[in-house]
Amino acid sequence: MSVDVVLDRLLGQAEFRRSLTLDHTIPARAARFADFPAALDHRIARALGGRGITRLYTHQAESVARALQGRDVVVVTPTASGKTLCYNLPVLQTVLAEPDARALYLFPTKALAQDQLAELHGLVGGLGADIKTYTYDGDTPVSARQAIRQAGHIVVTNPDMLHTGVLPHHTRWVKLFANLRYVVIDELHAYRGVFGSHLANVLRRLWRVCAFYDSHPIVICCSATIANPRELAERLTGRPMTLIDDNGAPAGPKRLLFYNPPVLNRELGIRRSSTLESQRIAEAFLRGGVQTILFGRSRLQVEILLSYLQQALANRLGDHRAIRGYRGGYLPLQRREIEHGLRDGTVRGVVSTNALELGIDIGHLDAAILCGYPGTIASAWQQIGRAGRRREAAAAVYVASSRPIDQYLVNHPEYFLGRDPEQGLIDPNNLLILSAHLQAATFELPLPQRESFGEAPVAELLRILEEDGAVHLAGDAWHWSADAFPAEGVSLRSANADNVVIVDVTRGARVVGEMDQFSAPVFLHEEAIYLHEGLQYHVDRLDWEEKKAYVRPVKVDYYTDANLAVSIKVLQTLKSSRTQQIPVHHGEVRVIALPTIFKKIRFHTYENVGSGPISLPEQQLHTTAFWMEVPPEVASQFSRAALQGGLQGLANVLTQVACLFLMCDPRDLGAYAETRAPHTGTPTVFVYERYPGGVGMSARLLETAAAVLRAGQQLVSDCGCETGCPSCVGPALEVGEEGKAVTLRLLEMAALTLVA
Amino acid sequence: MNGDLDALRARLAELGARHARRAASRAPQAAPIGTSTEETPFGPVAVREEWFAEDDAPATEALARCLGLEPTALESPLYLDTETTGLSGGSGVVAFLIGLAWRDGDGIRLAQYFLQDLDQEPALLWAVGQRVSRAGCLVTYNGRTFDWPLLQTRLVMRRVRPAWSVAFHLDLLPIARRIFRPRLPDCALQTIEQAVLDLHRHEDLPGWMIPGRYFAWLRGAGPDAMEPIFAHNRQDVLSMARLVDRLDALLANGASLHPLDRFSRARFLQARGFDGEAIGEYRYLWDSDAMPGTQRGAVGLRLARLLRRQGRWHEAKEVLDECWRTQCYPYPAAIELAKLLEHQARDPAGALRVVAEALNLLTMAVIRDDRWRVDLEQRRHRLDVRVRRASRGRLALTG
Repeated sequence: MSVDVVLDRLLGQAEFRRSLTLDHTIPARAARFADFPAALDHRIARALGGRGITRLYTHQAESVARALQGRDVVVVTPTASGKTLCYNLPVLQTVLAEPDARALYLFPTKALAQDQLAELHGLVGGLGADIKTYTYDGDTPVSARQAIRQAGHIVVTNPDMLHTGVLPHHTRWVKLFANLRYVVIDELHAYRGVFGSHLANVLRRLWRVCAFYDSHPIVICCSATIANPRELAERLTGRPMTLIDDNGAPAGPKRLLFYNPPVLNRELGIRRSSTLESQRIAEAFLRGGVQTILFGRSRLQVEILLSYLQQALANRLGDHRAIRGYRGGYLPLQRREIEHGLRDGTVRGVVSTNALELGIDIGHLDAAILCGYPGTIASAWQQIGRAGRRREAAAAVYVASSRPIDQYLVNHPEYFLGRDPEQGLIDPNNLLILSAHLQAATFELPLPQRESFGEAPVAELLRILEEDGAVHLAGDAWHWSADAFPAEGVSLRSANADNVVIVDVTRGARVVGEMDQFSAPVFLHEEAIYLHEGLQYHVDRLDWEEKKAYVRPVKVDYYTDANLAVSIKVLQTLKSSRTQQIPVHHGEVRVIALPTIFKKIRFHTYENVGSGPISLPEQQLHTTAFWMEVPPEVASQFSRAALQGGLQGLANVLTQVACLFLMCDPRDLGAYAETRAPHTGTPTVFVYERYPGGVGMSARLLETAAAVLRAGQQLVSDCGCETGCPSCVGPALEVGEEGKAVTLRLLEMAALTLVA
Repeated sequence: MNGDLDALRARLAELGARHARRAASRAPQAAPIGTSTEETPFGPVAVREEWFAEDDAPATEALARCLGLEPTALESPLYLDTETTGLSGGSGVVAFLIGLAWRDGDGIRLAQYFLQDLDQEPALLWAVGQRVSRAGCLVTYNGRTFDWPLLQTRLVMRRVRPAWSVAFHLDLLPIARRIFRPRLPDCALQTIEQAVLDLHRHEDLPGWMIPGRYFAWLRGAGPDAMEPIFAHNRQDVLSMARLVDRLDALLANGASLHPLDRFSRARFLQARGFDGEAIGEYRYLWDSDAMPGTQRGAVGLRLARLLRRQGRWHEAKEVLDECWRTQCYPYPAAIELAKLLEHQARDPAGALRVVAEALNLLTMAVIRDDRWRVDLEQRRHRLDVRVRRASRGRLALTG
């Protein structure tokens, strides 16, 4: 049965039809080819020919040509457009011509590095030349490392390993660094926020080391579709880049459906479960014999979806191995088997986390179902891109959850289909991050006094580090002078070295996770119920000195909610956008949070079933924020209580909607509403970054304020609830009976004035 | 400017950066006591030279022979030991004190090159490089893993080309480990000093404190601040010279050694291919009854294997018989005995008997030792087939 037959069947159901907010056909796209570059080594041409490739797509050809001319390029590559050739060809061409040449590939995860290595091996195998390709990461056996350092032509690693395992030991890598011709950064869009800000500094260190060995590698980046690939690449690498985004890969026609589960209770804004609806739709495709991928948002959800589908289809498909799960935590061999099954068609369906949205080769499937919005539009397109063969028709169905972002998107498909609004943002000059890498850089090579490191007051930073006893000025250069390994204390992925570690005491003191110091008092105070991967844990003890929370798994019918006395002090206003009615700003703030008490609240009924005090020190966060003021003449239109609810609603909406533009997770942002802010005396709503010093998100929020506020306004006005629900401003319980109306009114005024 | 610095300091503190302001500011550093200045093409470097009378040069012939070198190969050794700014490695770790020692007249000369400040490293490396490159052989303790790679890193960091080369690098740690590790808790140089050289340090600075002391020096600590490190380094270098002498003597003749060390020494000799000497030593230990139970079994087993390899299987069988009978180290002895019975004595039935008994023993053993079980079972199976086939053959002949 074909995709169209299943679609016709689904569309034959009135309720399904009624729940659609989009039924759009993305037209087929013909391939556009270019010949192999004239200079291409005949061995590469022959090896490609052996795999049925006799020409390149236009974007591949252009990437190869530019890179071989010595230009740094960033290639925007949708799923399955043959991106690996964009960098493998120039690298192999160069290594074939100069056997001493070296290349370094960076992937955000070890698993991805392994996948790409397998593909590279395939290509190299057909060349008949001795080109050595290796992964080098935490799993690489010590016995193999020496050989890799000496002989590896292409070394595939991840930013963390480069940071702690390679750069601090660069003298062992003389061969690589002295002959480094290419640095490949794949999945560029993954390097945003804190991670990207760290990587930008790791790359600054890499360029220093390269300069020491007198090498000047060409950089090739590949990114999923985002609004600012070139800007992100340039900020990350600190170099001007050439953008290549003219995709020449073909695609068959694709039907894209947006499905909003039917409303069960309009007043409370409750809809049918998106999990159940996704299962139902996936089942219809699988019953019709259509090879389908179903994306869930967490590991737990994937397991639930999987077991349901396996049960439902046990008789139909016979072999239970026809439907498989796929997520982080599966063994590599198991993953390879599933990938292979998907390619040869023995696996008919797969339920996956975002692990399969990245560049893993599973061929082309017929249908993709997204259970909930994956967090960024770039991810959503990558997931949708899993469905679609070169010629035949394919289908993708997005099933919205009740979260505000989902509700906004499902009701505004034009936003999704229009020009991509998402920005990959980083701040390579975040003082805290930069300062950590400045130390690592000084360890790696003494820093001459006149040398700069990013845009920072390097001289002053070094004076302070000297006081710490970390560096020492000798001659005209700063030398590392402490018995510590500076890269070791810096994790690229989490905010701070001072995170609170969460330990499950029942399972041999296994570490369950980490939480930043600023959030920990809210979620990890004693007696808190901490949720992790869908499991409930009770916090038995919080050792604030040691930064450890001791938890044990429980099953209870309540959650805990900590009351937080927050105050925000504006330290410096950096930029303002003055409009007639609603001024908006961006600047530095200090957030002070003091947890006071916590309440135990029963699920569903929201009864208060207990409470207790929290005695933890006040937390301070020095960061950057975006804020909007409500001038007195506007504020005076509302009662004090109504205004308070409205501001709270506004804070809730802004954090959610902002994520659409900043490519971040709602947890990366904090929001706070104040009816009388100390520095202005006016009602103010703040959206602040949860990382000390910020990574550039609030600055961008000011720049895109008009669009963000408009999106917020649409979200609230589209929502069918009466007085607020978790899908828009928050439940009436939180924002009050008038909250929703006031939020909407404020948003209308703000959006209007800014547009004008 | 100071205002800027304060503002930045406050900002870093706000962001949560750790900051431990230290009082000491940098003072001009007078050279440590007793050092003089050596001029190099890269500027001056501080060095402290001392000479110690020592009647005899250490003997090295036995060592050289054991290592498969010409008897004179180790005759003029240069001892080297470094003190560094860190123990974890990486390109930011510097050797700030390099102690060298060599035979000079009727004694030993010690030269300790010291980095008064980090920018003098090119001069220090040049001066040390001159000595290292001229040396007939370099002697270190754990130098193959620590000092030498670290110095190679320094050469790369300071762009010294070509890199240093030495005719032969003798790292004493692996040899000391082979001989003394079975008896000692570790093989740190100081442990060896106490247990083997009967040397006892007083008020020695623990290694982990050394980097911190040097950083204090860089921040202006007084001229005698380095004294404990110089003393520590001096002792390390001089101990190496003593250890060479001792190792040579005990390799030449193991008679004075503790039986456990003597066994280790014999194993070392065997590993280096000196089978004849090894047999003599194993035989002595076997006959002398100096070894405790299991260890005696291990001696017997090694002795028997070597004897068998030399075609002296009757002697080997005697040893194995006793090993098996006295049940010291029983399973390997049984396997070894079975091999010998099967292949040399042509007695597969006898071999089968031994194997079967060993398996019986293993089944009754409190601690099941699976390492041997697999071997024994396969052996029994094979011998079983062989014995049955042989008996059928006999039947056929007689029938």
